[in-house]
Amino acid sequence: MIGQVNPTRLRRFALCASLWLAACTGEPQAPPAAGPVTEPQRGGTVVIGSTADIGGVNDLLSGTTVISGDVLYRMLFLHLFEEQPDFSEHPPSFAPRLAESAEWSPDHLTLTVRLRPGVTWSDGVPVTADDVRFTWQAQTDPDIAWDYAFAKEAIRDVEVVDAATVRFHFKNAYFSQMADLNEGVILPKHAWGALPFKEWRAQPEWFQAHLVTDGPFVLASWTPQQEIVLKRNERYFEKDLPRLDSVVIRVIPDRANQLAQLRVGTLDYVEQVPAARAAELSSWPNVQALSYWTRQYGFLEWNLARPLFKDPAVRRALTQAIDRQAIVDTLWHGFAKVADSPILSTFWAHAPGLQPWPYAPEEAKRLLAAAGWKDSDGDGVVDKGGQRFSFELLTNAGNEIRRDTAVMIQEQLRRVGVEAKPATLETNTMIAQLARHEFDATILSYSIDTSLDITYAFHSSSIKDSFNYGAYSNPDVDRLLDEVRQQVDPQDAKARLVRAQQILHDEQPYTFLWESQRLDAASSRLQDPRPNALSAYFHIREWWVSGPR
Amino acid sequence: MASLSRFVVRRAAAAFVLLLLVLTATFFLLHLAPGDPTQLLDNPRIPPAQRAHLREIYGLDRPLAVQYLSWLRAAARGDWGDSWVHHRPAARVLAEAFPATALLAAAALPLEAALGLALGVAAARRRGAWGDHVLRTVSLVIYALPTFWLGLMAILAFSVRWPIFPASHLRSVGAGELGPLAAALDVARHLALPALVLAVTNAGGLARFVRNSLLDTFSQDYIRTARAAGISERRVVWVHALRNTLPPLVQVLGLQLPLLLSGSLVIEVVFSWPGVGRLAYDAVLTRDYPLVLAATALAGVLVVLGTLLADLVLAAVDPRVRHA
Repeated sequence: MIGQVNPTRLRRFALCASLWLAACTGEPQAPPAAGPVTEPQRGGTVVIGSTADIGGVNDLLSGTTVISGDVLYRMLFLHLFEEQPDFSEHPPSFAPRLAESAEWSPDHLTLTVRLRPGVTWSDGVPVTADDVRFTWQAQTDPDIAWDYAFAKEAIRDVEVVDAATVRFHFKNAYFSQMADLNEGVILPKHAWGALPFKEWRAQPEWFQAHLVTDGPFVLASWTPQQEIVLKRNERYFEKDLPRLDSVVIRVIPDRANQLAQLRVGTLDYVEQVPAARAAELSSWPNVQALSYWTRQYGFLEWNLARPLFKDPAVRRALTQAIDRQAIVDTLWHGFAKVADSPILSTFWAHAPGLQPWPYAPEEAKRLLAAAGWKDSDGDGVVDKGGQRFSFELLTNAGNEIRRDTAVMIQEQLRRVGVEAKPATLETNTMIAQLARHEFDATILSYSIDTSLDITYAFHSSSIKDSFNYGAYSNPDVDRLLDEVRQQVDPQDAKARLVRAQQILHDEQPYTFLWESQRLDAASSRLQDPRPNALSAYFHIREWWVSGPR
Repeated sequence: MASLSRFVVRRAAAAFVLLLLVLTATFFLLHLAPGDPTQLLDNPRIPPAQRAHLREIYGLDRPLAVQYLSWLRAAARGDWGDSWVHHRPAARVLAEAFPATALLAAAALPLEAALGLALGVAAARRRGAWGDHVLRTVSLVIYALPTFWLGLMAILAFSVRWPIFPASHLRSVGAGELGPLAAALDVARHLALPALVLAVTNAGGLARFVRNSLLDTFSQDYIRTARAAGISERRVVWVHALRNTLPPLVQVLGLQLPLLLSGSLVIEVVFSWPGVGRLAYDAVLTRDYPLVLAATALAGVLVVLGTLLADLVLAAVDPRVRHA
C-alpha cells in the first residue's frame, strides 16, 4: 500500500526546505524600504537578463552571432565619440567621449582629434593617441578579420601627432565618415600590443588575462553561460558616474523565464518583450514597460527572377491587397506602424511626402486584371496563360510574428484571387535557399544604420553574393546608391536617397510591412533607463536604483 | 574474470568503431547542411569578400574531404579545435559545462528511478483496478507532456506563484561570496526544480516499463508458488518479482544516462542551466562545427559508457550474460 501524500503538507515541506536552504545560504535580506527617492543615488546593483553569452572580452574577436557586443563593450570601453539618437531631422550628432574635440580639414579628408586629458586605463596608464592608432591597425588587420573592418575601408592612415592628438586620413570624403571612424571601441596598446595580431584569433582567452578597460565599469567576473559581473571603474573619467556599484548580466536563454524573474524581482531589466505581453506587463506591480522606436523594418521580398513577380504593376497590386495596418494592429499590438521605405520614417533622409500604398483590394484586382490575371476556370485563383497565381511564402521557424503575418497575408491575398502558401524553414537553411534565389517570396526584416547604406539589398551588384535575394535590378537605383556614398553634404546624399526611395515605392521589389518598436521591461526601482534606438543601455552609466532588491 | 575482461575489450572495440562512424556521419551531415557560420553574421553590410575571407580563416574553403582528414588528424591528437562562437577550445567549453549536466543527471536519475519504480509497482499490484487505470493514465500523461511546458509551469508555480525555488541558474547572484556549505546549499536550491522536472518527465515511461515487466513476472510459476507458500505480498513483489525485473530495468536505466544528458537540453534552456545540452543546441543553431562535433563525441562516449555500464552490472548480476 502506497502512503497517501497530502499536497498541502508537501507544499509546506518544500517551502520550509527552501526557506531553510535560503537561510543557510545567507542571502542578504532586503531592508525595509524607505520613502520614495527622487534624487539620483549612488550605489546598488542591477541585474540584466540576456538570452546569450558573450564571445569574449575582445570586441574585434567576439563576432556578431552571440550577445550584442553593445551590452558589454559599451560598459567596458570608450569610443572616441558617442553617436546620439537625434537622427530624425538631420544626420546624428557625435558627442565627444574619449575625444575632447575634433576638427575637419577643409577638404573633409582629414580629421584631427584631440583626446580628453586625464583618461586612464583601469591600471592607471593614460589612454593615448598610440592606443587609437593601434586600434585601427588591429581593426583592419586581415589575420584578425574583424566583422566590421569594412567600416574602416575609407581610412588611409591614422597618424599619431602627439600623445594627445591623432589624425585620421581618409581616401575619400562622404557624409557618414564620422560613423565609420567611430565604429569599434578603443583598445589598450600597452596591454594587448604584446600579442602579435597573427596570434589574436588563436589565443582569444589571452585578452581576459590582460584586460584593462577605460569605460564606466570593469569586469569583475565572467562565468561562461551563467553571468558576467561588472563593477564600477573607480578611475572612470566622468565625475560621480557610473552611479551603480555593479551590473550583473545573467544569461537566461528563455524569454518567458526572464519575464518570470522580472516579475518576482530577481531581474531588473528584460529586453525585447513580445508585444503580445504588453497588457500583462501593465498589471504587474513594480514593473515598468519601456517602448521605443527601433531602426528595424519588416518586409515581404518578391523574387523578381520568378515570372509571377516580374511586373511592377502586379507587385503593386499585391502590396495593395495586403492590409498592413491590420497586421500591425493584430500582431504588433500597436508597437509598430506601416512602413513605406527602407529609409525609415524616423530618419532624416526619409522621402518627404512618401506614404504607404493604401490597402485597396478592388484596385489590386483591377491591376491584376489589367496585367492579364483573371480567374478563367472559376477556382477562386486568378490565372494567365494556364498558370495559376500561386506561390510559396517562406518564413523562418521560430519567429512567431513572421509566421502569423504569412497566415494573414495568405487570407488577404485569397480575397483578390492569389494563392499564397506559407512555409517555414530552419533559419540557416532558409538563408542558404534565399542566397541561391530559390524561393518565391519571403518575409524578413533588416536594421538600417547611420550610413543609410541599402546597397546590399537593392543594388544589382548585390544579387550574386549579397542580400539582394529578390534579384532586383534598376540602373537608376544602382547609380543613385553609388552616388550617395560619394556625397559629402548630407543634403546631397538625401536628394539621391529620396529619388531612390520613390523608385522603390513605385516598383515595389519589397512590400514594406512595418517599422517596429521595441518593448523592454524594467523593475520600477530602476530609474532613468531611457533606452533608445541605438541601445537599451545607452544611459547605463546614469542609471540608478531607488531602493533595495 | 578473464571472460569479463574479454567482454569489456570486445565491447570497447565495437564502441570505438561505432563512435567513429557517428562522428564521420555528423561531420558530413553538418557540412552538407545548408548555411555556414559566415552566413549568420547579422550585419548585411559585411561585404562578400570579407565573408569569403572568414571562410578561409575557418578552413571552409577547402575541399570537404581535406577538411575531414584535417579534423580527424587533430581529433586523434585530442585537439577538437576552437569553438567559433565561444572563442575557446571546444573540449574546454564542454568540460566546463559537463559538471552542471552531470550534477543535474545525478540528481534526476535516482528521483526518476524511485518515482518510476513506485508508480510501476503500484500499478502492477492493482492490475485492472481503478488504481491501475489512474496510475497508468498519470504516467502516460507525464510521459507525453512537453518538457518545456512542464518546466515553465513549474517556474510559474514554484518561482512566481509561490516563490520557493529559484527559476534559473546554478547559483544566486553574489553566491561567490558564500562559504562552502552555504554555496552547496545554494546550488541545491537551484537544482531542485530542474532535477524534479527532468525526473518526472522521464519517470512516466519508466513506470510503464516496470508495470509491464512485473505483470510478465507475476504470471511465472515461481511467483504463484511463492504466493501459495504464504509469503507476504510485499515480499513477493519487492523481493521475488522485482529481482527478475531487475536485469532489463538496469539496461533501461543504463540507457537513461545518456538520455538524461541529451534530454536535459530543454531543461537546460528553460532553467538557464549551464550544461552540455544547451551548448550543443546553440552550437547547431550557430553552425559552430567544432563544438557540435566535440559534443557529438561526448554524447557518443556517454551512450557507449552507459550501455557498457548497464551490461557490466547485468553481467555481474546475471551469469548467463557473462557466459553468452
